[in-house]
Amino acid sequence: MQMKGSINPWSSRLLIVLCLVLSFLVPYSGGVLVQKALTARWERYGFTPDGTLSWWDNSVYSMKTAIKWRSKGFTASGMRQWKAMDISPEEASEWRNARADVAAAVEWRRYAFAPERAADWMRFQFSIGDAIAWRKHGFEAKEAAAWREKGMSPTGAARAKRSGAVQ
Amino acid sequence: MRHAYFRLLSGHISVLPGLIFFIAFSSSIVIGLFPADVAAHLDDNLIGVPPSDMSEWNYHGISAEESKLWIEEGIIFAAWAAQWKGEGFSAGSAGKWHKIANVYTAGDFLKNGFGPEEAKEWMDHGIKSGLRAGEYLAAGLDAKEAGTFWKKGLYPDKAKEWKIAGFDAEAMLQWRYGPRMSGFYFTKDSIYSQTVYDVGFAVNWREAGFTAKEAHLAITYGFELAEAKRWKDAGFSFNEIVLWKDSGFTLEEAVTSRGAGLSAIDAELRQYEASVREDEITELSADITVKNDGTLDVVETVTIIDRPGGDYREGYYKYAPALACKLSSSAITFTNTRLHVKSVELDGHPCEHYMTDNVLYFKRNGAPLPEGEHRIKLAYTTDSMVLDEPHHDELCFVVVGGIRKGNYIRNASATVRLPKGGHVIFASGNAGKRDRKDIVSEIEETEQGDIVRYAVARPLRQDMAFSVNIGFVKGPVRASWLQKLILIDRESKRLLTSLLIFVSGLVVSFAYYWIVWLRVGRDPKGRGIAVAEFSPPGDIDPAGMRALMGKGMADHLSTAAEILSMAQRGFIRIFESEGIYKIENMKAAFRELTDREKDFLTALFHERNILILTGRPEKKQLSLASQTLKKSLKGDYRKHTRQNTRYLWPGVIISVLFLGVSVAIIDKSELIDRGDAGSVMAMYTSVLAAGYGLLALLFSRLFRRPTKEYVDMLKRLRSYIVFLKRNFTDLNASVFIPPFLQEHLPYAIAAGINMDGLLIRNREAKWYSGASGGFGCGDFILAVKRSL
Repeated sequence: MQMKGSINPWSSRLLIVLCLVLSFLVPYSGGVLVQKALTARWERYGFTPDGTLSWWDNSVYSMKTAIKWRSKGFTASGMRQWKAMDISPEEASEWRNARADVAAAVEWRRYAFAPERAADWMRFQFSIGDAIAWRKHGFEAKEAAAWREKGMSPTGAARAKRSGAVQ
Repeated sequence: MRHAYFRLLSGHISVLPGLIFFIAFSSSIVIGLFPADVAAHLDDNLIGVPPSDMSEWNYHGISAEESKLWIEEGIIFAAWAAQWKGEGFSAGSAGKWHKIANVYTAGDFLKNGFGPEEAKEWMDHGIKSGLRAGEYLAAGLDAKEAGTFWKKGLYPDKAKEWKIAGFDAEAMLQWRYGPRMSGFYFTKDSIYSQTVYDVGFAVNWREAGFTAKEAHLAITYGFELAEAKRWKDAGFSFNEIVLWKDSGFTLEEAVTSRGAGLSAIDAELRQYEASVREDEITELSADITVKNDGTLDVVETVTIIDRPGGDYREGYYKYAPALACKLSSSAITFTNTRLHVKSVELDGHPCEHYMTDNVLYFKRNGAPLPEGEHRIKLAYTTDSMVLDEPHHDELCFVVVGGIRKGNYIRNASATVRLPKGGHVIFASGNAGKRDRKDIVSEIEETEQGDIVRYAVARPLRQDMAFSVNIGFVKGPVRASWLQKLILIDRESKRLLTSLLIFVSGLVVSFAYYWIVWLRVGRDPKGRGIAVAEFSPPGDIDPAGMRALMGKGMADHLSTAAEILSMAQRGFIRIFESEGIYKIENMKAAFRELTDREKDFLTALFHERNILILTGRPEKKQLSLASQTLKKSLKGDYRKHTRQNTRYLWPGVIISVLFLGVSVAIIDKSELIDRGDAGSVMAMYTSVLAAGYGLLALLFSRLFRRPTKEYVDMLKRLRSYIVFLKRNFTDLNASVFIPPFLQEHLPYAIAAGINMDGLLIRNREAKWYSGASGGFGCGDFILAVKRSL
């Protein structure tokens, strides 16, 4: 048996086009729905939809994390660098209170200075190098500043302190 | 009209007054309708937000006139204003409060008698409850002081106690809290602990003339207040009290010696010289070099005087440095610390030595060191002793551990050389009795790295120790993976080693079992060529066939098949009436039967010669016969397999040996101290034993090997079953079993072929007679199943 005539290709072409359109629309709509549901959930905790997207753009997908940062007064963009340096919101807040930016904080903490202490050294205008030198002889910033005013080096001050001299 | 409009716009003089009136009038209307435009104190976030509609204000019982007052104060929503009003605020006062607190907090402060400025001050100091602020105020504390107490978690009643006792907030902080016990680097979220002292303690020690720090130290050193007060009254400062007491003097002796112009150390040395002296180290110095992988190179020079008696009865010895400690003085025992001796010199000559239980012993000519004065120079390396803290690295090295009775160290010193870039963060240490710091340290910065020099400021006697503790920046010391593993192992009390031994044991046992399985456990191959079977191979009975095929399986099909097999051979006759089967013993001679069949038949008719299958559980005859059959079949099946159990024993012994070592190597000292060594070790042992047990169980199954005969028989049986399936499956459409297949019926049942709907005509089976059209195979099987 032989078939006569030709099959109309348009219906199958239409089907393919429809499939292509659906293959975009279905996941897209799904994504939009999920996004809307999530932003609505975040909204309940005081995040505006734009704000939520901003946290997501900065790789914070957990609302709990976002709340932690927000409670310490950080915005999504403001927390980005701190988070990138693996600094917790609590510590970042302490560094900010110590008036240190991310770069300075990273440098100070690299040499094991806690934010409060680093703030002291900065207040008395010690560079990190100087602070390291004075600290290794057991001096706090205020005491070190007093010795420095007398023109003493850290070693000299330590020696003088051991021999009973007061600054 | 158009002309008039033009004239109006062009500013015709006669129109101007009207225009001004119009603008003023319309403005007043607009203001009346939209009062937000005149709000003076609007919050930033409310700028541009329209106020509530007039109807809303009316709904909340606020007139248009009053609403203007609220809006002027920046409270632009009717419900918001109603809240403030409900808490007793007028528009004017709410205007002052709403910038500093929400309506409820403000109401709370207002009720407790605070004005907005006062409330702000309290809130700025962290007290955000009017009630709490009122309580602190009643206790006589101002906002600042109360804030300090509040931050430390001291409620007004406690704060009042301190205040009444004469401590302001700063003094309370000093007295109430001991030194913060924490890692060096901490932030406010860091976990830390602090000893807390009560107000009574503070009052008593302050009255005795001590500072807060001294009082806290006195508790750490175990001093009683009364005793400390006596020393204080005798004119000794706290530091002097510690020194004289540590040197072993009573107050009276101290007073006398001090009167003679001696310091505590001088007096102690004089007393020591006058006593019967035992063993003594006149000079001890340790030179410690921290290497980049955290290991230490140590050169220890000791000058000893070994006298009769004393600590060195078996000659001089040295403990391996097995302790590490942190700034918080918490000590970690490095149980697995290895000490690699590089060289030992005794009085300038190489010296024999050996190590047992972490103690290094020295010998000369095969015997312990003789009494007399010796100078020993010991060079050794250790595993990594550097602790990896979150923000810094730390070395705590015990130069001399708790000194034992009969020993005395006159002078001790240590030098620690850090690797390049290892900047010191702190240089601390302990020398003397517990937590004492009778030590002087000095830091030298060099190109090769910081050097810390320690000198102990007093002689060391019984129960005293000397350790150095240095914190330095991260980076220069990076432990290798091996060192890290060793460190983890030490910190986990050799758990890692134990697990490693356990895994090795598993591997060794597995290898043994595997080899044995290859040799004795693999199934033999059957005959090579498959031959079609058209009758049961050998003399096998149907139940026996089912048991061989199913690895000893015996069930209702085995019983039904066996009964039918007996019936076909004339030992049994089956009657059926209205679905009830009656089985009758034909009492034929047993000669043709196998032992199993004899036993089965005997059990089946052991009470009566007739058995009725009612379709209800029949616990006597049929059950007994079935049990007998099952027992016999299992026994027969076992005969066809070799268990090879004996090969398991060497594997079990290997496992037990490894298990023993795995458990024994764990350092249990801490568990023993805690009192739960038994339970923890029992649990751990059982977990490990379960691992070995599972392996043995697995291979005990694999070791079972079928006989060659069994494998051959199995192959033949499979061929026969193929034949049965082919024939009986085709019958499904025809219902009646043709005579040539009837002799295979018991075997087909034993092979598990579905018999539902198959019948044997009444006359065709001599062993059967019934009221219905024929013997229903499926019905009979069901009756047997239900009757079991």
